[in-house]
Amino acid sequence: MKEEEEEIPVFKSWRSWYLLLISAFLLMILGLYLFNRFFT
Amino acid sequence: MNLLDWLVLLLSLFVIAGLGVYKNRKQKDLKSYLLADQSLPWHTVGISIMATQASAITFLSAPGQAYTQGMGFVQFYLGLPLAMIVLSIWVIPVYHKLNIYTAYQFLESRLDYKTRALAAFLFLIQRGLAAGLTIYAPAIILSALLHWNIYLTNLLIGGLVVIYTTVGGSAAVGQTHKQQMTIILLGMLLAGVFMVMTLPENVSFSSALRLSGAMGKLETLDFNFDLSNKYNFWSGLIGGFFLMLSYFGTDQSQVQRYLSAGSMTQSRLGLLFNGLLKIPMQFSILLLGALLVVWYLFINPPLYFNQEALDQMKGTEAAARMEQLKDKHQELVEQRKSVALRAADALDKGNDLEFEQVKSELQAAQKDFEGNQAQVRQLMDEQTGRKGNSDTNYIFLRFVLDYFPPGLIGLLIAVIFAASMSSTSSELNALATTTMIDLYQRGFKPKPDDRRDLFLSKLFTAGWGMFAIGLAMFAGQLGSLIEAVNVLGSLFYGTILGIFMVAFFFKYCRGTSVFFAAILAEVVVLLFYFFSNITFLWFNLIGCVLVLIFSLLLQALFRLAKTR
Repeated sequence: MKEEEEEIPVFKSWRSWYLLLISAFLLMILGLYLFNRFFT
Repeated sequence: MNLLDWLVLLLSLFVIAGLGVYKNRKQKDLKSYLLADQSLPWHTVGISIMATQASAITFLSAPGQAYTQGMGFVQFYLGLPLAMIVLSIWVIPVYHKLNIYTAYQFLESRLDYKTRALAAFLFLIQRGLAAGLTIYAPAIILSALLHWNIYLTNLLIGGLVVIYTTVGGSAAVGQTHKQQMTIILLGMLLAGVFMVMTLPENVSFSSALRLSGAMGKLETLDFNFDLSNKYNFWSGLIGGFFLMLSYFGTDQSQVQRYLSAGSMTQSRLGLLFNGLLKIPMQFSILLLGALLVVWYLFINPPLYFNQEALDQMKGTEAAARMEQLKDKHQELVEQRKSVALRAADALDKGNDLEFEQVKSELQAAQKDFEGNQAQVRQLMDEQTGRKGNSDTNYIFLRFVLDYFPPGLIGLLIAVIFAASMSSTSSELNALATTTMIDLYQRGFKPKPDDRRDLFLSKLFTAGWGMFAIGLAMFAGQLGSLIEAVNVLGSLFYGTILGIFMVAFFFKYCRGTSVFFAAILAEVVVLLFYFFSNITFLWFNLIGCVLVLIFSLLLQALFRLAKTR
C-alpha cells in the first residue's frame, strides 16, 4: 500500500465524486420513473 | 451447437484461462498471491467487483424474470450506489490504514478474536456452499438444454477456474475478470442487437417497448410500501442498501477485490465505478427479457422452456391434462398473435387511439396466456410433488439455442461460462485468503515463512475448488437444500453487517457484548424467517439493527454488573 495517498483524479475533493454519483443515481431514478410512466 | 459455436466457446474459455495462468504464474510472496501486490488500477478493480457479483444466474435468470414478471427486479439494486458512497467514506480508509488482507482482521483490531473468528467462520460456511452452487446452477441448465453430461459440465467450469485461480491467485482473478466481462458485455450487446433486428418488419424498437409496456413488463418502479412484496422501491432502496453494504463491505470475495487496488484512491474509484454502472447494466439485461416477450408475440413460444422437464411428464397420470394445456396454449398463442399484429399495425401507422383500444385486448390475451402457463406449472408441482416449478432460468438460453445464428450461440454459452467462472474465482480466492489469514496464521501462529505460506495458500485455493466442484456434483441430490443455502446467505448478511457497524461506529461496545448480541440477533432473524411473511431483503436491515441494539444493551449491562 502506498503510504502517501495519490491525488484525487478530475475533482478537487472526494465530496465532488460522491455528489456526482448521487446526481447520477437521482437521474437514474428519474429515468426509470419516466420510463415507467411513458411505457405502462 | 455446431462446429463454429464450439470453436468460439472453447477458444474463449481456454484463452482466458491460459492467459490467466501464463501471465500470473510467478508470485514472490503471500501479498502478491493474495492481494495482487496491491497494484491493480481502479478500472480493473471496478470491473472485477462487477464480475464477481454477476454470476451466470444473473444472465440466465434476469431476462427470464423480466419475461415472466417484468423489469421490477431492477429495484433490487437501488441501494447499491449509496452503499458504494458509504463504503468509500468510512470503510475503505480504515481497511487501507490497517493494511489488512481480510475484512475480519479489522474485527480483531477493534473488538476481539472470537468475534473475528465468528464472522470468518460464517463467511466460510456461506461462501463455501455458494461456490458449489455458482458452478452447479449454470451447469444444470446447460446440461438440460444441450443434453451435456452434468458431471463433465461441472468439471469443465470448475476445473478451469481452479487451475488459474490456484496458479495465479488474486492477480489472475483480476485479469481474467476483464476478459470475462468483455465477453459478457459483447455477448449481451449482440443478443440485444439480434433481437431488435429480427423483430417483424413493422415493429420498430420503440413499438416493441410500447407493446412490452402494454403487457406490464416495463414496470420498473413500484412505490407501494409492502413488506411482503419482494421487489419494490422501498425494499430495494432500504433493504437493498443494507444488503449491498454487507456484501461489498464485509464479504471477503468483494473486499479482496478492492484491497488489491494500488491505493485508497484506486479502491474508491473502483467502487464508485461499480455504483455508477450497475443499475444501467442490470436494466439492459432485464430489457432483453422485456423485448423477448414482444419477440414471442409473433413466434410460438414453447409451452414450457425446460423441455427436459416437460418430457418427463410423458407417460405419467398428468400427461393427458398436459396435452389439453398444450392445445389451449396453442389456441391462446394464436389469439394473442392476431391481437398483437393489430396493435403493431396501429403503432406502425402512428394511430395511438387505435393502439389504446387494442391494448386492453392485448392485456386480456396476455392474462389468459399467463393463466394457462400458471396451470402448467401447477400441474408440474402436483406431479413432481415439489412446489415452485419454474422455467424462468431456461427462457433466455432456450431462445438463444432455438433462434440465434451459429457463432453467436457459442458466444452466448461462453457468456454463461465466463459469468460463472468470474464469480467462482473470486469466491475461491477469498475462501483461501480467509482460511490462510484468519484461521491458519492467526489460529496456529506459525513462524513467518513466505514460501510455506504461499504454498499453503495455493493448497487452500485448490482445496476449496475441489470442495466446490464436489458440492456441485452432488447438488442435484440436495433438492430443496439448494434454495435453503441461497436463503442462508440473506439470513446472515444483516448480522454480519451489524457486527461491522458496531465495530465502526460504536466505540463504546466491546467484543464480548457484540459477540453475544450477534448470536441473539441471528436467533431473532431466524424466528422472523420461520414465523413471518417478511421478504428476505428486509432481514438485512433487521439483523443489522438488532445487533446494534443488543450490543448497546449488553454493553450497558456488563458495565453495570462490573461497577456493582
